[in-house]
Amino acid sequence: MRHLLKGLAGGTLAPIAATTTFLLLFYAPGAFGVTCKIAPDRVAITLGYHGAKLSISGQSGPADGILIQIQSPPGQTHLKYKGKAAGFLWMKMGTMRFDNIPSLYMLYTTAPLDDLLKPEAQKKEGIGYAALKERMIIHSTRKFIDKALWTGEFIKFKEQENIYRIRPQAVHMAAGGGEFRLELDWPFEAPPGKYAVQVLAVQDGRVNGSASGSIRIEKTGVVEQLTQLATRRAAVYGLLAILVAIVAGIGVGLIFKNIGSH
Amino acid sequence: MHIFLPIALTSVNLWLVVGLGLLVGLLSGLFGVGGGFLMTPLLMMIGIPPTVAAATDANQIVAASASGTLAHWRLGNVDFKMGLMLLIGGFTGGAIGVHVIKILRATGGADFLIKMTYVVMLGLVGAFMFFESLHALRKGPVTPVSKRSAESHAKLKGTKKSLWKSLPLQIYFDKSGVTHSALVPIGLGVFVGILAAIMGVGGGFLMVPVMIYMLRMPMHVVVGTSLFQIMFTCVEVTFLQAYSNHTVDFVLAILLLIGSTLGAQIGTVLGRKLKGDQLKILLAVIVLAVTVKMILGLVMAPSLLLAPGGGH
Repeated sequence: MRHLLKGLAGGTLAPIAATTTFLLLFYAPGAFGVTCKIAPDRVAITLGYHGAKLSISGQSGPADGILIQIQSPPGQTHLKYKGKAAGFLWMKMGTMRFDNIPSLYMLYTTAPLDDLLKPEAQKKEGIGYAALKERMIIHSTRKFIDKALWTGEFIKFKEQENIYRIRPQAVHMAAGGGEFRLELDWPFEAPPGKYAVQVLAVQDGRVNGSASGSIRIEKTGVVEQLTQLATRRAAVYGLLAILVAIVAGIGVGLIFKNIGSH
Repeated sequence: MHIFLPIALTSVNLWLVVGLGLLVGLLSGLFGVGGGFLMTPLLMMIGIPPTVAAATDANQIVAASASGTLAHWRLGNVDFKMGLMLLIGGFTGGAIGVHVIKILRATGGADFLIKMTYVVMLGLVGAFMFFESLHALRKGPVTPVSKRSAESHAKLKGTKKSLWKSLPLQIYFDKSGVTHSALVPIGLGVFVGILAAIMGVGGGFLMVPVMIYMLRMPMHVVVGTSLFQIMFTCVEVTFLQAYSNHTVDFVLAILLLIGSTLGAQIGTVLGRKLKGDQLKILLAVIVLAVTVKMILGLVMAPSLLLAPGGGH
């Protein structure tokens, strides 16, 4: 499964035709015939974008529960840590780099995670916050790093950013297995990119089948054009921003003058 | 109605952002401040990353200050000669301040200095303006801006020659009705420029008191001249931020400037109806409120121990 996720994260995608239409992304019969259908699997960020409604559905064999995990490839996150200066003033004291950790992580389940998988199994399968914390590596300008404290703070920070979440009982499944379905609100805070989706069927405390897919979020139209201009032709972008501001300022001034003179 | 910001990478309520622009533009037209000390924290509160908030704010201030400068210029309230000298000093001071911050960042003392400079300067400026205006308001009937400016001119004539008066390059600034050595506004410009660069703000809230209390300029000329000077400072900042850091969000800037240009015009009209000391006490209250909020943020334990990089 890890190889499959790595492949998905590092691979290239074919050009995109339609972005918002319902389509079948990936159909992968797992060990016990688990399937995964994501709709839509590609989301266009336009000027009116405010997140998206996605649905992930499929079939599983006999199962006690379903876990749906969505994450970005592991990478680095640079943050500032706060501490007390002069004994009583809280301020940013230095930098902290978190390695081997996804920038986005979501887990949706049919039941509380601990009821479906034991802590050891969660770590083994790389599921849940405990597994993330275990593989997280922290580098910092701070001399002493309390890993339990800072991994916990990292997750709190990401949850506040709305791009880390665990939602038990959000996945609906027929009793004893079969069809499952998740309706999810994709957060607008999630940056553009490709996110791996992993569906796991669980029975008797063990994973007995899985399927995978991906969600692609990308800028299009004016949003993409402005991003390109800002990064590739920064001087033109800067001058344009100044020019528009001056013209708008003077323009409104002249309108007010005309209004005032009538 | 929501709109996605391409550089900030977040979605915001269109009307909320236009409203923020209107509010800060109003302050700009009223007091001659860019409003960066207020707008940047407000933008951060609605989820804009600190670096994008500061850079985009400079962009929208260009619009608000252009709008305000035009309005004040029509009223004859811009002292271009004084503005130019403050600008020369401000640019020089800005360059020095940026260098100081670079050195401090390398040694790790930057954040502490930035925070403390912010709190101390805001607190001092706010408290001084508040008590001075309160004293003036209590002293007697409030004089309108126009009368007050005439009074301040007369008062100045009777003021004994200070050390500044013995400096070379004495120039009469006819719009402000004051005589100073060219070195005075340039030197004060350098001082404000250094502090503004350290704090990452345009410096309007520092420049306005400097003009009132140190250059003894009449209040209505202070506002117009400050806006003129801020416009150029923010043009420079916008370009540098867009070119070096790619942190100017054009869409956000447009939304803000729709509100701020309108606000600046309304503020200018409103400012003519308010008295000089009433204006000063209002600005002092806003500055003090921001200071208190910053102090609370410094002494109260934060809910999160991690924060994104950049900003204050």
